[in-house]
This record gives sequence, C-alpha cells and structure tokens, in this order.
Amino acid sequence: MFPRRLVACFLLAAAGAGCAQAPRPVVAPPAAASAALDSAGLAGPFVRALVARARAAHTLRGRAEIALSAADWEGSTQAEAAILAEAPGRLRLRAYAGPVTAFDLVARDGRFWAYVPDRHEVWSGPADALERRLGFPVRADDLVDVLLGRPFGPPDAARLVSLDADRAVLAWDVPRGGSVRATVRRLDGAALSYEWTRDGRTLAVLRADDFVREPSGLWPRRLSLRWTEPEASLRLTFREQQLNRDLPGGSFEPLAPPGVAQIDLSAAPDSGSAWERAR
Amino acid sequence: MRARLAWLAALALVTGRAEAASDPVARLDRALRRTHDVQARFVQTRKSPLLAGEERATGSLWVRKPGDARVDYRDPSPMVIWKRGDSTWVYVPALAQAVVSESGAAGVPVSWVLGASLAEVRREADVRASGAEVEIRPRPDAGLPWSSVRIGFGPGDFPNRYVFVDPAGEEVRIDLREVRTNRGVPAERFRPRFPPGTRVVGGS
Repeated sequence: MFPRRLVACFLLAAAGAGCAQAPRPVVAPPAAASAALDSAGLAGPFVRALVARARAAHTLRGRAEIALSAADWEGSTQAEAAILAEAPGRLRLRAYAGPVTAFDLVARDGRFWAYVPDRHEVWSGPADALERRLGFPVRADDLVDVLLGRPFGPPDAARLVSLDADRAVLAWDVPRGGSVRATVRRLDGAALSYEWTRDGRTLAVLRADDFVREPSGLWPRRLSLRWTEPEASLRLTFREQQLNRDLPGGSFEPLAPPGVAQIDLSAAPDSGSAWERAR
Repeated sequence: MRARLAWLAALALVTGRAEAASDPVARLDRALRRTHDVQARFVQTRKSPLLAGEERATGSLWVRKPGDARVDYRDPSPMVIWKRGDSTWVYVPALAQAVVSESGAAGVPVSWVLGASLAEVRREADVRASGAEVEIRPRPDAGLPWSSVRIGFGPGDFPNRYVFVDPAGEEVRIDLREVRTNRGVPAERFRPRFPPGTRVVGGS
C-alpha cells in the first residue's frame, strides 16, 4: 500500500511536469539565482506565497460534499454539509442525510459538542475524545488549519527541496515532529499538496484541487486528506465557499438541544491512532 | 314560514360544505383517505441559518401505503433512499455503498404524511389549520427530527408543498410536481436493489 502510493504520487508528479506549453510562471525565482544554486534566494518567493496563503483567511463558510472513510469503519460515508471555520480552532460542521440533519458538530477551545439527532444524544468532551470515539485521526483544530490554508504548522521557515519547470517542492519542520513537504505550482503559486512524514513514514497527505480566485488569492474547492495510521480519508468538495466573512452569531456555541441526552466522552477508549500518538 | 325554513336549511348546508372545503385539515384528511400511492417529481430546497442562500436538490419519489417509500435524488448528488416499515436503505452510487438503518420516518419525511392517515399522524403530532395550510407539530416523545411541518395544497386539492423545520432552524421545503396518485406503483419499485459489487453496511 505504502509503495503503491509513492508510485501514484510519482506518476501524478510526472504527469504534471509534462505540460510543455505552460504559461510563464508568476511565482518565479530571482533571475540571478538561476545561474548559481542559492537555495534561500530561490525559495523566497515560494515561501512568501505559502506564508501569505497561511495568513490570508481567518474565517471560511461553505456548503460542501463531505466523504469520510476509516479503516475501523465498516464502510464510508458521504453527505452534504454546512461548514464554518474560524481561527483559531473553531469549527462547525452540520451534515445532512437527504432532507434531515444527520450530525452537527461544534468544536472550540479544545472541546467539542456533537449532536446526533438519530440517537437524540449530544456527545461532548475534550477534542481528542471525538477522535478516539470515531476512530478518525483528525482533530477539529487541525481541520480548521487545513480549511484556512495553514496545514501542518507555519511555513515561515520553509526551505527549497527541488524545483523544475512547473513545480517547486518546499519543506519545513512540523512542531509535533517530522517534516512536511509542500508542492507548489509555479504557474500561479497554488499549493497542490502537502505530505507529512516522520522517521521515513508518511503520516498524512493533503491534496488541493479545483482552485478559484478569491480576493485573498487562489483557494481550492476540493480538498483530499489521507492518513496512513490508521488508514483514513476525508474529501471535501465545496459547492460554494466564502472567506473572511462575518459568521452567524452563536455558530460555535455548545450544542444543547432540548430533550436530548448529554453523553460525556472524556473517558472514551483510546483508538491508538498515529495522529494522536504524534502529539 | 315553511319556505323560509327551507331556505335557512339550504343556506346552512351550503355554508357547512364551504367551511369543510376550505378547512385545510379537512382537505388533508380527504386527500390522505383517497390516496393509496403517489409518484411525483420533487424539488427540495434547504435553508440553513448557518449559510447564506439556499441549496436545491431534485429527483423523484414514490410512496405506497402502508409504509413503503422511495426517493431518487438526481441532482446535485445521486442517492436513493428506500423506506420499508421502520428500516431505511440509503444507496450512494459514488461510494458503491448502501447503508441500512432503523431511521424510520426520518428517512423520507414526506411519506410520514402521505403514507399515513390523519389519525395516524395525530398519534405523534398536533395538527391544526394555519391560514390555508396545515401545521403539524410533532410531540417531543414522538422522536421525530423536525419541530414543525407546514403543508400547502396544489392542483386537485393535493398536499404538494411541505416545509419541515428542525429545532436548529434548518428549513427544508419539498415541492411535489407532476403528481400522480393511485396508479398502482409496482412493488418492485420499493425493493432495495443495488448494482453488483455494492457494499451493504448494516446501520445502527
């Protein structure tokens, strides 16, 4: 599985590199640097593009199709959803099953509240308890970082790893351990993918696609996240999204619908995921 | 004198009929009594307090008393929901997967009304007239996911407009179009069937 993914990544990169008639890159290294290898100078424009993207958005509001799968699950799930994100670490995700709400999640300040209408229950607890409960290796604050264009830590100290006609690959250390490699499209500075590795193993891969131009720059409408330990994936396809808008009041208030049971998951059993162990 | 009494009696009869005809609860009762099966196209419009604008979905539905329903969503994401008794199958072609659950009425809300009689609806909810519409408020112990349903009428005095509102303010409007009733929908239509290779997952 692991080598196959590397092969797939290689094939994708090779296919991307084959655009012989690509327009002139808008994120170009300084001309003087092309003669001599000046890693810092070459990396500068790309790092600035990544940093600008990481700082561009403080809120996101959108309607998306969300698809989830995890090794511990019997199957996958796909639903239409309303998604609100606000820095730092505030998330609202309301998923629908046809005409009814299937799941409503609020996460903020390291805690979560998840309303499951079908069970007439609200689950709550510290952020990592939801991960343990669902066996899904992502925390809400990490997802907020992904949605707001700053996955895997700040890229301010990124260094250039490789450069070809179409792509630049940059790397930086991840505060929780390991490093991330980001592939940036030179044509427009779009960050196409991020791969987080540690001790030679890939822990997570984020791919971005279908970019639209927002006032704050290019923004992907399709995000695909894969984790390896345990195997899990999350795909978001935005049908509409708005950046840096005021969000409705009360969007991140704890959920407490009348007449539902409150279930405290603070003591939920550990799923033993790699993501959690990495913290 | 005798002529005046006859005139008053006739007037009372006409007035009573007019009131019955305009009472939306009576109209719903009549429609449900005479409806054994329904097939229609639908437009579903969702308004969420979390988002600006509306989300539209379209498809077809079939309902057959007692307790069978099927909804085919076509746009924007294909999905088929079958409801048989208290079980619901949700088939998502993009995932090649069907999930079976015991979600009961929540799977196909329109069939909660159209697949029942007014007396059955009243076992779980309070029903009253609200202008030209019927307003249904499920009782808290009914376990239904919406807090109110408004029903309006269309051609043939058929209840073809439904607005479901849940406690969080999510509003889903379902407009039925090209409604055909009592045409004898084949039983096959309500039998969950999936293409070969579909993963069927037993729900909670």
